[in-house]
Amino acid sequence: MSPPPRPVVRSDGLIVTEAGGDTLVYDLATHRAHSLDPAAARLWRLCDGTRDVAAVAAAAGTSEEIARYGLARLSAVGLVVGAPSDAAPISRRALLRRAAAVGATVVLPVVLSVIAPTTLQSQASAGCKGVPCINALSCCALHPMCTGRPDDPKPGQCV
Amino acid sequence: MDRLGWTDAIVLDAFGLRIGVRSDSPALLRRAAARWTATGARLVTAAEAGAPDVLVAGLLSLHTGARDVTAGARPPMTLYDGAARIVRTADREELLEALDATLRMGIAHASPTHLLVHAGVVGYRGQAIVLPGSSHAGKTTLVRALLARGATYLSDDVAVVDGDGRVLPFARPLAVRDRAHAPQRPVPAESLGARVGAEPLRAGLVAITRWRDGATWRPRAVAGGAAALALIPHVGGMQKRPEHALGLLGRLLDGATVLRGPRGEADACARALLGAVDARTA
Repeated sequence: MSPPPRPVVRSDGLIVTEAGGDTLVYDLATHRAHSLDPAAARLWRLCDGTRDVAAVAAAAGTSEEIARYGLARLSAVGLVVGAPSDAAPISRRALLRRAAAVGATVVLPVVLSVIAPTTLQSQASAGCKGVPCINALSCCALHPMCTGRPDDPKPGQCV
Repeated sequence: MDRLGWTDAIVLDAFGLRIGVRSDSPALLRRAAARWTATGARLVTAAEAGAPDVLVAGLLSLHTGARDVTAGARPPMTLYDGAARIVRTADREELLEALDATLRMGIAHASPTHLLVHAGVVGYRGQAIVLPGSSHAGKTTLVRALLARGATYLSDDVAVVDGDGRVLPFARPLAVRDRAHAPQRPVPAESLGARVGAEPLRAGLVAITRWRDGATWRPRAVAGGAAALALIPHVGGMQKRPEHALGLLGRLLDGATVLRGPRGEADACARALLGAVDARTA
């Protein structure tokens, strides 16, 4: 019988900072930014490779089920390696429903993610593709060409 | 490129970057320089540089063909970024707009000292109201509505954030569309009866919104990491200098209220935003 997995945080290629009580993690490999609420950040920091999931849950003061849920989220975004891979991972909704059934309040770890834009994307628009236009000045830098013609009353589209 | 007959050159010091601009038309170069010195950039003098050659982060070239005596007709004008051709046009205004966009993109990408957020900004009660949004989100329309209600103008398209997290004035004329998806035309804030802000301001309110037909401004507050994540899609240089960008983003958001949601008519949203600042400062 193999020993239970001991999840460990990925430490290379990450920039970690604080934002109003949450932990912001920027992944230099994927250019994704992740926000960990205090519950998720606590789980993340406890993954030092010496604890299995039960020990992480005990140290975080939460249930093993919730720790398993949080570690699955952290693993999915690449911040933890070696987390147990469940065949049927429990969903957030199921956890909340179970807690409500017994009248309990649970604090679920929250991990939010966003892809960092290139400078061009950030300063232009991801949304002008296909918008009606009459010339290039109606369009944005990402999709700078207009298929319309100034002498044509029918508008073109930014491409 | 170097044999195209350049007659004049300037070096702009803009938000921590030195960028060279050269041209074969002194008049056009003067106009280009004036547009940027009005927004806080300054010209590096030869005496200040202390050497005939100045090290620049990039070199843009405005070629008009003014000295091309062999051309039968005035040739189209061209903007180059390094050796890459950015635009060829017969319209001087379009050429200057392309130069501005290229300069801004370069500064957003590589400024070592500032952060450029794609956002409109007004000042009210000594605080900045920052309105991040992509093109066609309705930033300029909302800025105009805020100006009509007494806010001061800082920018309709870019929030320049300094090392302390304050928002600097970047008071280019508003780029107004007379109808959706029409070409933009420049409208000075003063011609709308608005005052133009001169001082850096701390952000009091950040409203992430875009116009949606029939929507009512009922925002929800976002805080902490979620607020930072909401702004990241509008931050320049994020991939190139993430540590720098996250640091300045944190300082920008420090103490600010962040609201998010779609809006309907700009005037109703403007009234609510100013009311939110009034409530903060009461």
